[in-house]
Amino acid sequence: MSVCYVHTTNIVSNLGFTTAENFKAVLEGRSGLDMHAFDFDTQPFCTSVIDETKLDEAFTAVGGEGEYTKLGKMIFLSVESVRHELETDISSPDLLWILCTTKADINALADVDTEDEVLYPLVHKIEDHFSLYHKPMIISNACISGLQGLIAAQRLISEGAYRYVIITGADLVSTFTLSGFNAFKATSNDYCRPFDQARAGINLGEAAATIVLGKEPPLRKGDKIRLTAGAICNDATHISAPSRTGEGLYNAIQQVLAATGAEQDSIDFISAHGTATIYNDEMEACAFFRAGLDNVPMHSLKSYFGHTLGAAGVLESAMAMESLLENTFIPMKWFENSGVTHHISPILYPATQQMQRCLKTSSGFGGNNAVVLFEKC
Amino acid sequence: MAQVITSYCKIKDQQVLLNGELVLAAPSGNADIHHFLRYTYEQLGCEYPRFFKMDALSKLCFCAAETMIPQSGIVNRTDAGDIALLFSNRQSSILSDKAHQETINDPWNFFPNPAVFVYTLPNIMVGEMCIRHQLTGDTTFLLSEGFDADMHHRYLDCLMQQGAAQAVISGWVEADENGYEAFLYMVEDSMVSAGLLPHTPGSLTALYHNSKILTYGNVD
Repeated sequence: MSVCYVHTTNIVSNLGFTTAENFKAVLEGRSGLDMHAFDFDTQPFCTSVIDETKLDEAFTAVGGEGEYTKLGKMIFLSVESVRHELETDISSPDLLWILCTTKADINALADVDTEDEVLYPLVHKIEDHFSLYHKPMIISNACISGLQGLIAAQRLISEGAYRYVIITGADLVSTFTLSGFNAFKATSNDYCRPFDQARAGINLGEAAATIVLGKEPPLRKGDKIRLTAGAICNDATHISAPSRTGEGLYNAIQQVLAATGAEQDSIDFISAHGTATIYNDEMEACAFFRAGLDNVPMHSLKSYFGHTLGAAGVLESAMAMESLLENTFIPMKWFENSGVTHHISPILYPATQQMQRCLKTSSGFGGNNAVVLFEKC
Repeated sequence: MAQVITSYCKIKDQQVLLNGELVLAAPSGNADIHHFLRYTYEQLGCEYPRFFKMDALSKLCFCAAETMIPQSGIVNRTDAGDIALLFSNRQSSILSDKAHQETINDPWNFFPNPAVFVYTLPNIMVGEMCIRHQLTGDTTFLLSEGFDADMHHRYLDCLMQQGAAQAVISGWVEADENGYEAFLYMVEDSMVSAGLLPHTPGSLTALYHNSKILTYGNVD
């Protein structure tokens, strides 16, 4: 497996429309989560929702026009933001666009009768606007979709299929997903608290995030990030509950460490999935412990962005890269006392130190686990 | 070593075909997907109560996998962690999506069911396959407007060339209110390629569009 390089990133969330804005907000301790009312329940839900007026302004400012859904505008804005940083034309035959989404415009299903309306019109608009040369690859593999997008891109680049791949992860907070997770009793009424004793479930969030990977390092000066290795493993135990022993996540971590030869103590931090459900966080802590990573500083960013589903892996990777480049740890907001059985090393302060590498993990329904190692170079 | 298609299964129009041979045909008359899947499950003769919890998409995939995987002997010659799964379809989990949507259309009559909601992700059918056959490798689910032989071929080749898998079980499984189809195939590296179908976009397109191309044995 050969390495590939990060060229640029973007995050569109309600904390900002660039990676830098989002990073700044998070270091200031701001969370995008807040109480929002939904018509199906008398209680508000703690969610991270993008202000449509601000989104419309930003969308128009970058030349967006025509009929786009909210998700369409978020994706447009995110792709448009990285387009200026590309070293090639976005319509080049050397370039592939990967879209990672779990439910796309699923809200449309309330009015139309077919899934065709939920995804493809949006994809066609983006394809046409940017005159993309290749048909996009669309990944819908639950909560690992985003991180899987990066791994798929690395494999395709390594095989020489493309020189550049743009990976966009995007999902909305919808009545569809919120009602489902709530029926599962997986949502918290309060701000989510990953790995904490008081954790009571997830908060949903919406975001679009984009990362551009290339075969060669970017031409710009300064520190760069490379994606050194990635792996995906399945638990094969349950469709909605994680393996109690963290088997799939442990295996994926082992594969990444073996492929790179990275020692556990050479990893500066772990950006965990950390959904703040009882079982997910317990499973992750178990897998990290088994892999000898329990002394590595770790965080989950869900307390800032909520669980952004298909966008999460891309968004959290972009934040992790910014953390590496700025040599600054992102603390895990609202963490007070560990609520998992195994020892963990949560990041509590935005301390600064020279950093070299980080591990990003995602796990999801269907038994999936994805792990990626990023290194500064 | 050459990548070859060592086995394939198709389910369509109330028929199940393995490597081009008809193995099961439901009695004509009732084309309902649920009846057909129930009938097929019974004919397959396996005891797997989990089947009855699944949505139609997962059941359809289950029936095709159950027809192809045990007979192929793949799990005897390849480590479970080295078998990747690569699947796609057009309409995601549309049947379960609509079933869930019906329970939330009216805020005054709101009754979402977690047992339905969990199937509103297309990759759950792949997760079900992992549980049934104890496969612990890489899994991928893609969406595209039609079976994209080029994309399937390119990414499957990447999985094998990059060492992410020794063998890949791949396919297109689609179910909606108008119909259903499943096309599963298996790709492995083989020392001999004579008499075996090479893994090319052309082979995949031909197998997907034609119910019978050729008959051949398994790779040993």
